[in-house]
Amino acid sequence: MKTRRIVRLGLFTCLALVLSYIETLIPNPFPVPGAKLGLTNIVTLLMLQDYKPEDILMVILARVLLAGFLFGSFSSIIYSLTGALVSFSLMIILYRYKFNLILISITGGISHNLGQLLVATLVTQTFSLFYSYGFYLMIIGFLTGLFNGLILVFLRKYLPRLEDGLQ
Amino acid sequence: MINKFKKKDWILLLLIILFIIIAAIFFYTFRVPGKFIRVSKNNEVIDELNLNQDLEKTYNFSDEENILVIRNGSADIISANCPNQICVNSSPISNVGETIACLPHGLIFEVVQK
Repeated sequence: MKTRRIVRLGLFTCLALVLSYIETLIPNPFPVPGAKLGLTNIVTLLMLQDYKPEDILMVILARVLLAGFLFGSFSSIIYSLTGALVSFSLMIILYRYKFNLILISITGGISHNLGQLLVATLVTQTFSLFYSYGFYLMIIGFLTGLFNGLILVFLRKYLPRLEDGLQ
Repeated sequence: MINKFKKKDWILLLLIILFIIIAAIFFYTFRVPGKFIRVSKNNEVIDELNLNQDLEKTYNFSDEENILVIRNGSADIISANCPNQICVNSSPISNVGETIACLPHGLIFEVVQK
């Protein structure tokens, strides 16, 4: 059981990393710096239904650090780590109360962007950043969250939930 | 099932939209008017202009032409010979962080504080 858990978490980390890589290949489709599609959030959402929060947290930490070292920089690690942690904590709370998955994804997208923007504002000490990009990042977070949530719903049709009780 | 839209989901959706609207109003009221406009070509800053004095300036690089107009503290591109005309159709910018980009020419106009 323990080996299986390690293997599965490793596979999910790998999947998230590949999605991060694919994201770096797509040129930023939004006119706002720092905005991404957030495809890796699909992995988090996918795990949300079958895995314990600490398992998901491990995958998120591994993914953020590895992706940061591979395709990013030190500052990008800080930004995505805060964003990922903020959105994950919100999503796990919403999941506890059995909210709709697409809504969980949307909340995750918005909170990820806002958390990231907050850190960027604090790091660069330019508070105008928050006012000028906040609104766009929220809208983008909403749209990407919706997109990822829909992908997840379609994915679930072909990818059955675990039944061997990893929980 | 978790994929059904229940009553509390509608409430959450409403809360999210409400949050966005309130935040948008908040952001709108706290915008910072910029002092300068920074012009960069292919990620290199080529020009910085004061937003407080009205002027009209043409940026010419070989065949590429963009005409910038500064009036009443806001900047706008009134004419360009790029194929997509996105920069011409962009609305005037005056607050810090707002940009107008002309990607075919690699030109970016950004409002900055200092």
